Amino acid sequence: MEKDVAIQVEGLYKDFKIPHEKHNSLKSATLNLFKRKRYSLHKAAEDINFEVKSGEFFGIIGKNGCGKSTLLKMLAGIYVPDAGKITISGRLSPFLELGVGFNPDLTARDNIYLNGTILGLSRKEIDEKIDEIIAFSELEEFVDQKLKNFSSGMQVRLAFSVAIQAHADILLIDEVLAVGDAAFQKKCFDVFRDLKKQGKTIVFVSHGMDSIEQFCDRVMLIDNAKIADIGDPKRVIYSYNTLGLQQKASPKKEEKSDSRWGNKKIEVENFSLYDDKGNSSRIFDAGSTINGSFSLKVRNAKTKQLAAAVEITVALYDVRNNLTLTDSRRLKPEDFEQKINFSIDMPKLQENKFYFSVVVRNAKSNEVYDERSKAYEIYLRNKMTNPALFASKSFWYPKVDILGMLRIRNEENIIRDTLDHLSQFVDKIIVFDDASTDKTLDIVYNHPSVIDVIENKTWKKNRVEEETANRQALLNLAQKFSPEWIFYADADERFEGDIKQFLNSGEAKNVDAIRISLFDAYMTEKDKKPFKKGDKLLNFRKYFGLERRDILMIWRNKPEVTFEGLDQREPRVDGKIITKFYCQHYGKSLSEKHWEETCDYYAKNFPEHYSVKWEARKGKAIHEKSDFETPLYIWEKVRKNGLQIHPATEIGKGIK
Amino acid sequence: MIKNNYYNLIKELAITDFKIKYQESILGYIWSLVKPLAYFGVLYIVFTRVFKLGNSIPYYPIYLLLGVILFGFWADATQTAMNSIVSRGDLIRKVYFPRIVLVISSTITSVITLLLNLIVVFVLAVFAHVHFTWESLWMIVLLFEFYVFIVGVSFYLAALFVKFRDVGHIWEVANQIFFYATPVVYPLKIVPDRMGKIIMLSPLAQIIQDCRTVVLGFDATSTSHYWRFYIMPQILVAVLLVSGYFIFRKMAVRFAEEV
Repeated sequence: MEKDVAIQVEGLYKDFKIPHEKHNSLKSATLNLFKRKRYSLHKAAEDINFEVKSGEFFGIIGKNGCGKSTLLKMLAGIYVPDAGKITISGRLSPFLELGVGFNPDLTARDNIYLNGTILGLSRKEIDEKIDEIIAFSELEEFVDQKLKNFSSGMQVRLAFSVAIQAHADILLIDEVLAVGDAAFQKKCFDVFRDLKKQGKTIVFVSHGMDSIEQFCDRVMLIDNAKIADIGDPKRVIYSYNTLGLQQKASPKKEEKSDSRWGNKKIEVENFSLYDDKGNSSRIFDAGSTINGSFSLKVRNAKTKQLAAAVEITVALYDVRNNLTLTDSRRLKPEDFEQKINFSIDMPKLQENKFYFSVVVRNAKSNEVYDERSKAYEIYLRNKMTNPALFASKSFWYPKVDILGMLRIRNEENIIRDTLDHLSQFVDKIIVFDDASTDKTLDIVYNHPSVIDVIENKTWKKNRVEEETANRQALLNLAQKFSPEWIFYADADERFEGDIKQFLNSGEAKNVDAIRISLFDAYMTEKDKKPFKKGDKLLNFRKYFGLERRDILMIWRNKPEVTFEGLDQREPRVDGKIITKFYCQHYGKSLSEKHWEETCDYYAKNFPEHYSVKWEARKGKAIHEKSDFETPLYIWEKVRKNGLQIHPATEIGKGIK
Repeated sequence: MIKNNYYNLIKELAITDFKIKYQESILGYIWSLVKPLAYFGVLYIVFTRVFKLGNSIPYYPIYLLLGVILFGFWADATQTAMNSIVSRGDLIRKVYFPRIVLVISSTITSVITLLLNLIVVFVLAVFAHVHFTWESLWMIVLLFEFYVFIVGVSFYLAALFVKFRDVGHIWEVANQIFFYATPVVYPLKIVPDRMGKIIMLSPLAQIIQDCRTVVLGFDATSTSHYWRFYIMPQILVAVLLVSGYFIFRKMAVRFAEEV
């Protein structure tokens, strides 16, 4: 076994024999001695192979009864496998649950000794640690009271305080966090983080997918006593959530419904669901369209005459929010002859399970023919961790006071820093991604401030028109959040000033838009270190050009604000516009490589007056003077003495 | 047999059991003295006044008390040891440790009670003018043999009890038979010689009789009468311990599933 492997499991098998009549007495055992024993075999582990690396936080998930607890018990040595090998290197914690061996008739203090000893501590060690244990449990006043007078919460606190003293290199934990109040759970999580930092190996069995995702480095999914998936937590949790749904996609078998009722004069049959491409499926992407169909079977031909009174309802139940969306319509005579189709644009809700229900009833007499309540499970996939949309009676966009907008393409190096930076000034951010081909979108989807993303998947050649249209699409989405202010930034811009405070203050009351003074940063011979992932872009370069562009980046949200014309970065805004705050613009100075790519990009994709200019700039990433032939200055100087070159109408006023 | 770090656990469990046994009663562990003393009182009256069996034995009160207390130890220790695995099912399903720990710790709880009782016997013996000699120290060896015997039997009982709960009832009946099949209340010499030989094959009879011999200093009823068999009880004790240990260990791997 390699040195860094803490647990190695090879070819593990375990069956449980479940007797039909349990022989718990000699009489039945002797009387049945010569009868054939009748029992059913329950497989708890079937060819389980995996290893846990030293220092790893390893999660095990699965449905109830799948065999995950049995596996944990075999690791702990409580159960003996029928076949296979478990190799453990390091000291294993012997316990799976908290408060093992607690005796209600002993005082808390005595129980600390008893429980501590069971966890492998000596009396001397407990003597040394008992004050610490009592302090951690916050039960100082009760320590000499009998345990039976403790609330369950107090008992868990006491148990946990002892448990963390057990010295083990490998901890096996079974669903500990299901107990205790929120404050105590937080304390548990803190301890887990500590244990993780100390390099302990932890095997954690839980149903709480949130904590599994938060802590585990790797996760194993057990289904029907076998390993169904193992690896990246997100992926395995997804496999867990969609267990069984993959197979259900083929509509051959009619699903059993626990809550089906009705007199079945009319029956729902052949319920099936299809994705955008017409493939039968039970897993759908947020924002895609679900198409469904079913047919009706009539037992008695006479029933058809009722058609006009029959109402069919298709409902979609949101498990997370406990909400149901319904759509009903009256039956048409032809519905008996052909399939009934329906379609739902699946909103961008948080990744979760949903259920379809179908009800056929008589709208006049309220007679229920067939009700299949929550009979068809589907799974909604959403790449975004914090989607904005939430379900209330219908699907709502929350109100965001200051909304940031970003339009990006292939920015994997700087995008995290950009989102973190922009979050200081805005409440939430929406993003237009222009067909990125690198990891930009992964970062965007997982950022806590990002609440919606428009994915442009096809790259269109005519950039000038296209970019204006993209900005307008972003603005249209922004308006759904009814923001007070919209802040439109680019990924390579960094801002200075108390922008958020200003927008929320009374000073901003009469203001309709704000221009921010933007200066270009330049790479110089001495300052040309390339920007790397993890760096902070604000103040990344020393030197800036004096040329100042006052660009309209923040405006008060009004329906009449629109992007018009060709390649317009600024929207058309009427009213009071002020100039305030500063912006460092890094478009040309991230790295020499980036500079060359930018030159190529503009030269290739933009009309002649642009492309000629950018073609000429190739190979000239390192500057001594600005592109406008003025000397370069440090930021503080530039900020004070900038020469205004934009807006164009004011040219001349600014240049001395 | 048991790794070093499990001695702590045995100790802690034994102390806990002892504490809990006499908790919430005003007299506490004095009950463990009162019970055998009361039983002794009843037997004493019955066998000296009614059946007049005891009159022929010197120091009959001490003779009887020692027998009652030693048999009581046997009955108590085997009974609790039999229950030790089943009653700690919760622990067994959730923690790994050698299951033998539970059997040992429960018998140790009984040993504590026995030692307290023997102090009382000792005090009464002094009052009854029993002459203690160096030979009385053999008692320690005999008690060790007794303990080994109890552990050996307990391995069987505890392991079988997990599978068959009938063992509990069987053992209760068996102990009643043992009580009268062992010369606890009556002197061995009143039974026919052939019967006596068979009785003395039992380690229980051998230990109780030998204890009386080394403490009370007369040999009328000791095993030395039956020297040809003298080694048989000890062999039985050794065989029970070794076989009990292996059977227990073999069955112990399934305790967590079956308990």
